[in-house]
Amino acid sequence: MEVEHTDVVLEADLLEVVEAILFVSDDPVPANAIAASYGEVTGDKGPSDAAIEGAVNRLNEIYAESGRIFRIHRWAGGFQMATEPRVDPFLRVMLESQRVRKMSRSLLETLAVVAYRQPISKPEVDSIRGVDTGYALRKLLEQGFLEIVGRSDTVGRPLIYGTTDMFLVQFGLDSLEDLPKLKELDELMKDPDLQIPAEARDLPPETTSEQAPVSDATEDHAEERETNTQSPSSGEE
Amino acid sequence: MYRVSLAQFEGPLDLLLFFVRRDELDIYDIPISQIADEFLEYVRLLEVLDLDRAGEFIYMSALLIEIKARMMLPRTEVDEEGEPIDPRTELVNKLLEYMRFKDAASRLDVLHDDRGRRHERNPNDELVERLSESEEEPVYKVSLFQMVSALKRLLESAPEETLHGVRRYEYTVSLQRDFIIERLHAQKEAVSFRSIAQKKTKPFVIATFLAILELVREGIARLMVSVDADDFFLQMGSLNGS
Repeated sequence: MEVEHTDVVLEADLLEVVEAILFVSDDPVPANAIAASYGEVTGDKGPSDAAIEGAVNRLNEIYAESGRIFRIHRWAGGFQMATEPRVDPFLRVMLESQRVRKMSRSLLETLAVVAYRQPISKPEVDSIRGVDTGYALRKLLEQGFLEIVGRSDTVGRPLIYGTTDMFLVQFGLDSLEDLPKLKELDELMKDPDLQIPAEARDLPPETTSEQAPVSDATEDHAEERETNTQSPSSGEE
Repeated sequence: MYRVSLAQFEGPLDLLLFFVRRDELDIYDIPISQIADEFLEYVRLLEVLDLDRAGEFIYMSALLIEIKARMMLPRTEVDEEGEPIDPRTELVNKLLEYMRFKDAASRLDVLHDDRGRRHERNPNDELVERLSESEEEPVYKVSLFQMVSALKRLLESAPEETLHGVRRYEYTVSLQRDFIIERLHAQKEAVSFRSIAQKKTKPFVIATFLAILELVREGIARLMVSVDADDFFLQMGSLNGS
């Protein structure tokens, strides 16, 4: 296919092309798609994925140095521009916070089980959570975080679920390998404090007032806690 | 009595975990008897308020009582090293597994929060609306089975031909092919098979169906099916000349 090569196009270097493509895109663009577009115009094979990645890194450096309010992220195997968190409140007003809804705990737990154990059937999710997850699964399907990936070979051939690219994009992950590592059991056990802070806000109010927070009770239990290595957010205190 | 607020827990495992943490129990040495009593107390409360959710909790109560009973009996079951098996082992393993995912969920929450503060281009109202529309009626890739069942339903609902004698079919596959292409060009949105074929005669439906198969095979049209499997949608394919 013949493409009109204008001087302007040929003068554009990779950095500019990458920036331009990401600037106009609504979705994450994979490196090879950028390379293909570039190659189509210049007539050669196009730059390598590594070259694209280099250009992206360089652009992010430039944005940081020159105080731009956006960065290029790597989500779901592609690159996408997004604004920095510090302007979020202003954007939220304008966008009427359509997108930024908090997910309920039951949805998050269900999503976590599927994300780490996929492909997985409903009975298996039910068994891990100890509750019926039908509603949560349906909701997550509707919201596009999960999809049906097939049927299991076990009795009754239940549907099996997996996560979508949209899940990766909405959680800022490049691939499933970037999920935070699931804690090993002994790791959870060795570090009892680790579980508490994440839950603290979920405890019923009447219990939090009666019950001294665990982290304040360290004196009484110091010897039991010698295996404690670090607190989750702030390190040793 | 120690009051816990209802509907606060994701399920029986969550409640059990709460007891373990609150009393700082050693998870490998849970005082089952005490926990079982407390658990039952909660379940009674729940039964009054919310029978639907109580089922899962009643199951757990039964399990706790069973373990409690087995704890009182001499241990006859042994593991491969000849050590007596603790009746609590299975439950503890389940609790630990649940803990891992609870922990993972709270970390996903943090990721989601952080991501929610980074705005990509164009999450505009129109897009959000379109997303929520498609949420109600998601379209999946069509399977042959679904196509055939859509065809069958339409044939069943096609008006019966009452004329007698031999007639030439007034529709041919190639005519219908042009007809479909025209239709797809005229309409930017996906065209539903039902809207094309409804109330038409059987020859029309069959010729059109065959034409669609042909177009799809050639990559000129693309198929999507709606969840009800009664219908499917047609769109111009991505194969536009190149």
